[in-house]
Amino acid sequence: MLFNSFDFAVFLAVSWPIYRAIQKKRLPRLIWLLAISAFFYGCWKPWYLTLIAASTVIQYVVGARIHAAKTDTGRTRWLVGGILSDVALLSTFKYGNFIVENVESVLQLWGMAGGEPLPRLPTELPVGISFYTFQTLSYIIDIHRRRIQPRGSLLDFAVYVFFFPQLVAGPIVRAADFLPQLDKRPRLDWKTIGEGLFLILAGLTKKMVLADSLHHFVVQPFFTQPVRHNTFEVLYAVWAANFQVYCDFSGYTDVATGAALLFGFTLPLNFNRPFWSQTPMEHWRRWHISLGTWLLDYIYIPLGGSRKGPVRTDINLMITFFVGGIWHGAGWTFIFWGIYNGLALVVWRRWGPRKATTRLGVFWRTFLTFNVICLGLIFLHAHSFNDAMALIIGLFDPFEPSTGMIGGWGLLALVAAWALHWTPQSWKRHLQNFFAGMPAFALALVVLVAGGVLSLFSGLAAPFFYFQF
Amino acid sequence: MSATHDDVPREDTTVAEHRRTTLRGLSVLVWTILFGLGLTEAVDAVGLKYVQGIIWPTDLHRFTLRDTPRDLDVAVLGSSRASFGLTPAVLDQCLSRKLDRPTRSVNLSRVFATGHTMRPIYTDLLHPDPPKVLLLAIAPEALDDTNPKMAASIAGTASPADIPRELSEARGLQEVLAALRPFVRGAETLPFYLAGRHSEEARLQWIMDHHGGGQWCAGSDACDDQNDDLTRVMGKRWEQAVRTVLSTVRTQHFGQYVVGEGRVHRALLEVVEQARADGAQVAIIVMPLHEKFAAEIPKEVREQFAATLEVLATEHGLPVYRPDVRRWVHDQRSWVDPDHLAKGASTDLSRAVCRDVLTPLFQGKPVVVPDLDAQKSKSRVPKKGGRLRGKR
Repeated sequence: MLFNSFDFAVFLAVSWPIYRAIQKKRLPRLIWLLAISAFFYGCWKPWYLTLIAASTVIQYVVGARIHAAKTDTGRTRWLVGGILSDVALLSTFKYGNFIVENVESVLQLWGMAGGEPLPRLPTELPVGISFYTFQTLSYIIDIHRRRIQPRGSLLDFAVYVFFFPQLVAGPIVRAADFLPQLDKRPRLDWKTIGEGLFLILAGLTKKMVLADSLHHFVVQPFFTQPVRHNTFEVLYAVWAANFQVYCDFSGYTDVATGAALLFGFTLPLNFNRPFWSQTPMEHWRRWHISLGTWLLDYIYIPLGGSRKGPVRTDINLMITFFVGGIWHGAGWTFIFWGIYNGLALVVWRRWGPRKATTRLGVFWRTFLTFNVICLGLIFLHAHSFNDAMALIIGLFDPFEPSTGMIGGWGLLALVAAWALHWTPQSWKRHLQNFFAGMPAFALALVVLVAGGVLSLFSGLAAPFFYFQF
Repeated sequence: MSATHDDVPREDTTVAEHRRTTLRGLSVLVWTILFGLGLTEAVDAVGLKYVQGIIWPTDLHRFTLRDTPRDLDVAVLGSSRASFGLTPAVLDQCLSRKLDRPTRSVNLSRVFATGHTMRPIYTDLLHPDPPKVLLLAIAPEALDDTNPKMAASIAGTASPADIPRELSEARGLQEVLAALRPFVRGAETLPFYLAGRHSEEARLQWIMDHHGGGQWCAGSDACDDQNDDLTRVMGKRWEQAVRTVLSTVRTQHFGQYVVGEGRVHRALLEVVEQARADGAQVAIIVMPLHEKFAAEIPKEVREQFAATLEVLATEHGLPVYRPDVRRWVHDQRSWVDPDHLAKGASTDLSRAVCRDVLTPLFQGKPVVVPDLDAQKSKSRVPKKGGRLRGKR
């Protein structure tokens, strides 16, 4: 079930009043949350439920066994077992065919391939698998680190894993942040609900109006047509691609956060104006924050972080971004994208512009950071490595005749997305308060009109970008 | 080892506040539903019901704008196959010669239409001012109660008053959601109309305004240009359809097949009864399919479909016309894809329908039924007893 669908509106309209009616009692409340979340997820393919249910039960048991183990060795054995089970799940369903294809290529290179191609796994990527496996991994690792206690109730843990707003594309919620929220009756005052509704509408607007327009009018034509472009067109397209991914993913996060608020849960901040960043490192602290902190806590810091000298720091950064790249998808372009961003951080740390003292300096660092990130997106969007290289060559060719792609609704959407990104937070708060304070009938009218206007853009609808991960 | 599970209320949530919030939340929900339904009723009342994203392949909205009384001679209801296959301009050319007076035909076909879709279209656009002859152009899918496009059909045609019936008849979640669509259809349609999206298919509007709808037209140079444009647009459709559609026909169109009972069958019969009560004659036209498409229809489906046609003919007195398809069934040039006729074949079929169905009905004679074993027989003379008398 997609957030930008009539189905989701009906889903909320039916599930919320019932939740509201039973929310005083813990058990019915959690059972209902689990039921609607399973229904929400099962709408894609019912068999996906078996995978997530298996992962949930396994990691619940592993968490309990880690806690119960009497020795550190025993704890670590259970942890490794838990990690391997999630990695096996990901390897099979996300990376299985990628691995087989590459083994086949290597065999061909060595002349060892037979006449028949290697059999492919009859699998497809289950929606949200990368997100919920990272959540369950964080749970068992945190128990192993004695940061949290395991849950005594499988129901609680299942609600944590299945919770529908964040299940499909994050934010990646930590057990320590989420599980305590189950123990308190949800805060469901009108201010919270109004804020939730506002975030849902704002998120859908970002996604359906801005992201889908940028995708439809700029990004898709640019990355699918094998035409030579000049410097300005490549820059325009990669800027648009950057804003498209931002509006798409942060729009999704807004809807997820808003929907969670309707049910009385707070999700962590996932985007904090990433294009204000003055260094690539700062960008990754502001962009997909829940993944960034996950990689920081469970990959970068265990590797030694920045505590073991500059060379090890560089290596640790590269490894962390390599994992980040491969987490995004099973393909060499994703891996290269991860390596590129790791490299960008290393280079910037050593040779990047020093801290700015003037406004011009701040502007220059911000502009440079933005474009460094944009350049990496070419690898994320390009269909192949060769396509990506052809586009990068175009970046250095200002004299290539224009294809006339700059302009129209795509340019307007880019300017609007840019303006929205730089809008003061206080404006958003004022608008949110105004929205929440409107009379019920006026609010209903706004919801209906906004839904109608958004439906105009449904013809441009593209899948949520992060669903593929 | 477990954390505490006390159900502790938040300090800042009092009972009174909780009650206020609940009431406010429910009132927003109720207002949204009321506004949604009201808007849909208003949109339908001012004639904008068929200003929707799904206007292809016939612009029904343009038909609603035409003068009343309609004084129609012939109206066609069907799916996109009927939109391509039966050309009102050709029907009128032929029929006006036969009747020695000007005639007026329209094609109100709609993509994916089944018997279930025909009912609201008849009620909304033709009742109580029906054509003299109503042609229901069908193929096996149009009678299938499990048609996978049913949800789209419901979403596009159901009115607020239909919600209880559609909910009670819904098969599966998609149809339940489609049945609830009238809650928001008005809110979707109004911006669509105000943004002028409904007028983007200028060709369809022009054909509806000047030649009664359908995909093809005839009788003027402007028509020839329109036909040439469409032929060009459809140039690669055959290859695409053979690649993408034919491989899925068996599973997606006929994975299940329930015919002769259920809501589609009931809806079709209601159209027939209503049209007859309004004073129209009704006939069924079985739309031709290219042999490649026909080969994908399972034998059991063909048999069930034929049996249902027989029931419609014998028990309900409906003339059932199966056109002689020998000229087109093997010829790729007669098709834009394996189930939609190209211009030349559409003209031929329209002339045949005029000659064998419309002219007899207007003259109070039985419909001429071509050899029902047309694929096997070379004779074009109707078999003795092979006529199904239409109820007039």
